[in-house]
Amino acid sequence: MVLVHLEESLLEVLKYAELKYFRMVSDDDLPNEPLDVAVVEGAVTNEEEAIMIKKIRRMSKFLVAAGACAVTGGLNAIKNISPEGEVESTVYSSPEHVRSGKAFGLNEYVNVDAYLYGCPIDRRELINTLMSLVMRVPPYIPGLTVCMECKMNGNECVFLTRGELCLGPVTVGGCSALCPSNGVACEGCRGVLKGTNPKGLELAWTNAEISPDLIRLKLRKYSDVYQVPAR
Amino acid sequence: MFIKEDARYWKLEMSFVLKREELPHFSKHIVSKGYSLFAPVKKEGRSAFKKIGEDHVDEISLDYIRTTMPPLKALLIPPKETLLRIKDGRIEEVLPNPADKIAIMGVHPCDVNAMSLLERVYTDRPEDPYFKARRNSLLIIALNCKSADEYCFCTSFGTGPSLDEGFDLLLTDLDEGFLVEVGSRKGAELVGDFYMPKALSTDLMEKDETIRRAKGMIRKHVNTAGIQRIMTGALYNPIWNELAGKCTGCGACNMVCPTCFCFNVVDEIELDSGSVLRSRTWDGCLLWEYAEVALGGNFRRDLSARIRQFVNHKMNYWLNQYGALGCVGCGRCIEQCPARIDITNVVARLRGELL
Repeated sequence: MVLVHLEESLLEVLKYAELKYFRMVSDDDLPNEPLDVAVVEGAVTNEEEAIMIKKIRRMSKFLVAAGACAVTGGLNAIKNISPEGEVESTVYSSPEHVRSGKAFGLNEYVNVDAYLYGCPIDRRELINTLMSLVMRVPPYIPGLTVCMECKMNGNECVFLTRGELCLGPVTVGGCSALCPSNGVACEGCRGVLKGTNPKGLELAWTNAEISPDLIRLKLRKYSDVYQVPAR
Repeated sequence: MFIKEDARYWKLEMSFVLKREELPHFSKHIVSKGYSLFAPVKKEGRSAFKKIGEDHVDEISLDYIRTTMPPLKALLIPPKETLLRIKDGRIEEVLPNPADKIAIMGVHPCDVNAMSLLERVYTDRPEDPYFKARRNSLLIIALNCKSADEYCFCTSFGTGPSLDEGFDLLLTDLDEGFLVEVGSRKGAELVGDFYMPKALSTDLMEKDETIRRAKGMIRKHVNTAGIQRIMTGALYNPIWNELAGKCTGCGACNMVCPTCFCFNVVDEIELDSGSVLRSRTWDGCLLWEYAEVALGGNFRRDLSARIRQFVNHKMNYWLNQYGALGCVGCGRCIEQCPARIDITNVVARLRGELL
């Protein structure tokens, strides 16, 4: 949906690209022709979606996973640790209509060429990625942490000064540390940055006498941080 | 003996006392000279450097120990700065305007010394025009420390708590106000047309006493004797693996270190017919991507190797690279580490001074 909210910028992007399929905007079916770029949102949670993403992969030269759900499974992946169906029956009145199993990011099923992290994704990163593809250079999102961007913004640490459980130290940066810069701890929506050490963070929290239950909840909100890193 | 007396005489001739209540007026005086003034202000119980407008000189508070952000690094190499704009095949360098005069007031000795180290890096060939332009237009009003906390260890490197050179003006917080010492022509010009009484020899004695007291508060220490040999000998010490279990790999130490000078150059493609902004952002050796090369090769795959690099760069490699150790003992990396890793502790353990 961030794509739609680009508004005038979207028109600018459309000077260089033809939109073939956009389910959030039009009911047209997925065309049966090769695509240069596919930008896919959402987690894969059932067999039909798995088949669909494999089809899209085959059709497209370049596949972008856009948003927390497509990158790591996102919030949906909370249910992955519960027995199948349990979460659905707590949330929905008639869970028998829900056809949804474990939630995973796209790369669980197909090769992904580029990622747009976060919930929601960053507008600038989206534009930069699309324009990079127009110019035929690989999109690049710097591999730094939210914690580093937070320091660059001149903030005081919400963990060290207020004891808040912030996932900034292990989370992919690029959001300009939006949450901690507004006084709210990072929830880790952009996923775990490759090379960071969530176990170290868990240890730091444990040493600060945070209850193991709370730590587990925090580290599992946007998919389990101990899974494969987002990037 | 005669020469020493002579030096003391001249020191007195170029030393003044700024009454505490005169500080805002003096700050206004600096702004009126066309400087953008940066000084520490209180923010949520901590202090941070901020640009001070003429109407906000009352907010300046020189009573602080440490800011999280290293002030001179942030001024001279902004966390994110645009280097070039490329449009329609034309490359336009976005250099700082040399006419923009900057004054920074209240920088502690460790940070001034850290800037001298950055100078070695950025004015070494090839010279960095962005750094150089800002450095040339920068006036430094340093502030000797009157206190220290549990993270300070500048005495290990001779980088504090007092300063002998590298400033335009140097303040010391005394009972009745600030001792103002002149360190350069620019500094002399600034006090030249602002009335301050000359300092007395008792003021200089009070300064010495203040610094002695600050020194007495410093608890942490790094023994630098033969440190290069010890660090190199410890490259395969199991301590690096142990630290990798605790370290989150967040890179906060890199950001808050006043001598960490690495940056990443990034191109951002703008929407208007593909013009490109090339900018640089602070980077850090704790990151996976930092030592990554083409096709995914990486020279420091393990976090242990990256921690080892951070500590060794400060305490070992700097000496060969730039002729000085790369740590000034400001204590930021210790204070800001979520995992509570303490570089003084690491060195002490490698020296066998601690278990």
